[in-house]
Amino acid sequence: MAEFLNILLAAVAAVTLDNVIFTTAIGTSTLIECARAPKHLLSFGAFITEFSVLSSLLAYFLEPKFQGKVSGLFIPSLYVLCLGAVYVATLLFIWLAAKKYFKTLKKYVHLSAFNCAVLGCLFNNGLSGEGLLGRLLYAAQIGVGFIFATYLLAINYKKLSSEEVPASFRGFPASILYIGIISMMIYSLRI
Amino acid sequence: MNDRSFLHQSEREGILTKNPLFTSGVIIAPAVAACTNIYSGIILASVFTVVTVVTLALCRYVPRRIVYTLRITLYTLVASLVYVPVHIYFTSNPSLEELYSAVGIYAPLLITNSLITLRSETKFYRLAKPYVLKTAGYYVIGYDLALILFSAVRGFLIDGTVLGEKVLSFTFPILAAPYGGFILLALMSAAFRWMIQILNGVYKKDAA
Repeated sequence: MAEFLNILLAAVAAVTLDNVIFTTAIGTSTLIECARAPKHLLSFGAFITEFSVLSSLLAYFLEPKFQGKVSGLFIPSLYVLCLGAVYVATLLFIWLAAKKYFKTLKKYVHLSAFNCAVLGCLFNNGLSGEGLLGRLLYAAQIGVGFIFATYLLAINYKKLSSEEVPASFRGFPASILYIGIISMMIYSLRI
Repeated sequence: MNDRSFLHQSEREGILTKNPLFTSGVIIAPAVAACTNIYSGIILASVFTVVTVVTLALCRYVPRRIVYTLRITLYTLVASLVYVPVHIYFTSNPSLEELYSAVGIYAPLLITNSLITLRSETKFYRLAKPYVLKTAGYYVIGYDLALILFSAVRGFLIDGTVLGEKVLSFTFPILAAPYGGFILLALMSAAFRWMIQILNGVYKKDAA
């Protein structure tokens, strides 16, 4: 039981205290975009998790072929190809398995594919030198952390964009200020 | 709308009313996390300019009959290839290498910036070919100016110096952290919008 609680606490800490958006700002623009449509939060989060995990898996097996001085320069292209492969495979899978939801789901797939959160996950995994399990866990943490961060913004997004907020601050500046305050709070908890 | 007024409108949108960083709030991560002084701002603005302009210039010839998913993947792949010579240039130049490595993964992350992955399709490539680069250019200039201004102000507040000369007796070292970047970006964005509202008022008054 104690071990289970330790794992649970570590997972909660990974999603909150080590949240990639609040600690590195990676994926903030996508987060603000997703917070505008909170009812689709889980769909966005699920696809971002899927893209992070599957492309990390592909990148893990292909990276050793790009370790040379010249081939190493093309690591970003490798990551783009991994993401592109997952992107196409995801759309094909949805089209074959759930054709009637294809039209609804494809817009989340499009938004989740090429963004800083997913690409940042691949770069960070590549730099960390972690094994496969470590990389997959980090990728999952990015996705779940993204859902958590989007939820925190989404619950107050309407207020931050309401007429009561001065026009200059309404919407984007108020949202980014709100994210900054949460980020500051998380930093203070990490110390 | 004639050529001149169209370009004038694009100029106003890209640099002022729809400024990517201060008004639209896109490509935030490099500014918030990596731009802690004017030098990092200039480095990231240079990478952003070359990668975005060259990619948009090359990809405007990608046929529209290729499906959207493959087109976007191709745009991003081209951006990643354009990034290679930029990376070589900065890493082979001893005076720039240290500044370049300080911005870390935020330089290569610019290959997925939304001007390439989103606005290329929703705005730029819907225009007639001669307008694509001119219109995109205004957005790139708008982002570059905002990024450099933001990093200069942030660097000044962090250490209180201008060109190595101490100017401020007090400093705000907390602005070096990402949360400091978020808060400063919010304040500068609000100030920028306020200025645009005033300019719009003057513009309408002049037009009347």
